[in-house]
Amino acid sequence: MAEQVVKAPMRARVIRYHAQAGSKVAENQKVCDIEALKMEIAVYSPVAGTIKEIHTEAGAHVDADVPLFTVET
Amino acid sequence: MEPILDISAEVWGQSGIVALTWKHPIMWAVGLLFIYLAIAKKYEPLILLPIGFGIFLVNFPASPLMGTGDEYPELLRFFYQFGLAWQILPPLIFLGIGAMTDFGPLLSNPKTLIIGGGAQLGMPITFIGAIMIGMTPAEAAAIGIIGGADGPTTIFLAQQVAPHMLGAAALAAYSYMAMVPIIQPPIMKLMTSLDERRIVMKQTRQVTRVERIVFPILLAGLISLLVPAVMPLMAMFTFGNLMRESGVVDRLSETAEGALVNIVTIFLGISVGATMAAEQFLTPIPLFVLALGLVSFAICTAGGILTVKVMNLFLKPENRINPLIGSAGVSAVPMAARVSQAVGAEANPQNFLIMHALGPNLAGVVATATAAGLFLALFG
Repeated sequence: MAEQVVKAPMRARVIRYHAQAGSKVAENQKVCDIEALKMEIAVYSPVAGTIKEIHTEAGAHVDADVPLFTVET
Repeated sequence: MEPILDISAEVWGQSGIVALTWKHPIMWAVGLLFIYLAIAKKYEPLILLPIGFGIFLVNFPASPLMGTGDEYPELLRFFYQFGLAWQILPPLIFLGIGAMTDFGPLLSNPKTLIIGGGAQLGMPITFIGAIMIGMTPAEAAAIGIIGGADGPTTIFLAQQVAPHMLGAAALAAYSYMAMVPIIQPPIMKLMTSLDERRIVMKQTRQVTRVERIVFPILLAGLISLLVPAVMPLMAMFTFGNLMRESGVVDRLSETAEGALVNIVTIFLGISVGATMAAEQFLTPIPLFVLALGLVSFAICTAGGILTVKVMNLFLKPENRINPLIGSAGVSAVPMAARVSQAVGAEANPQNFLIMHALGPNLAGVVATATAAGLFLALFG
């Protein structure tokens, strides 16, 4: 089994997650929304698999490269 | 009976009704249109609401608002005289913008400065085009600068080189800033292939605090030497940024980017609106300004994208730049960068262009101000 950690692409605020640990996700399925520069930006799963872990909570402020979620394939 | 009739006639004569002409209701409609766009469509409401109300107010000709008065200027004329004619308000707005601006994305990838320069392409082209259809060089400059989509810079230049165009030029610049998400995407898609839109760029590097502090000082020195005419804007811009990055005067930089910029925006907006009285505004000139300003803006957008495409010819494949960040070289910050992100994510949902796009976006602010400086040096 391989895992892929998806990190915040920039300093942002996590608005909401659309999945939780254990959810099945398809490739390019929206997993969470973050907000940067007053813009809502969707973060998608890069692969099909299962969400192994959600690393932050909605409302959290994250720096670039902080892990958001891990997908297990 | 006669005295009563005399008094009635005098009251009637001094009312705002007798001085009305057919032009005034048209200008009320223009003012109300911008108030509507600000409230219902949220188009740059912070500036278009005061401008719209200013237009509405000055088109009641008997109101003592924009006249020169017997002893003192009337209220809005006073704001206009001391704020715009004396060139105080646009530089103060730039002080606030400097305090808001994080130059990190530009400093982490200085190549993006070139893109900001390329995205000013619409200015010389529109400038020449406007002269060819009979505008004076100064009027053509005030129209060309609209392509940079930078409101304060447009006001700063237009007031000095073509004050009769100030209102229309400011309206055009702020309207096109608001319409960036509508105007730019078709041009971006037309000029790029799907493969180009899918280019994933390398993560930008972290910028040190020393770099951030040195940058505004260097920029102020450089612009002072090269384009001194625009220093009223750039002096305030770099000062605001230095306050922000120094980290030791948070109270000052917070005031500059918050309360001060809000206060200044109120007076800037209503003063600009007040320049649009029917007698001056209802001529063919504002239509030229709006149409040619749009052309300039579209060419500036295309110029940024073209610049990236040319740069990519000289870059290693792994360092290629996504041409969608080129359109952000106009200075509408951060709207143009947001549009790069949105169009890029359509082509590749895994792509995050917004931080990369902020580089040319910030470079665009500097480049548009520099272009204004060049125009001022020539026609000011």
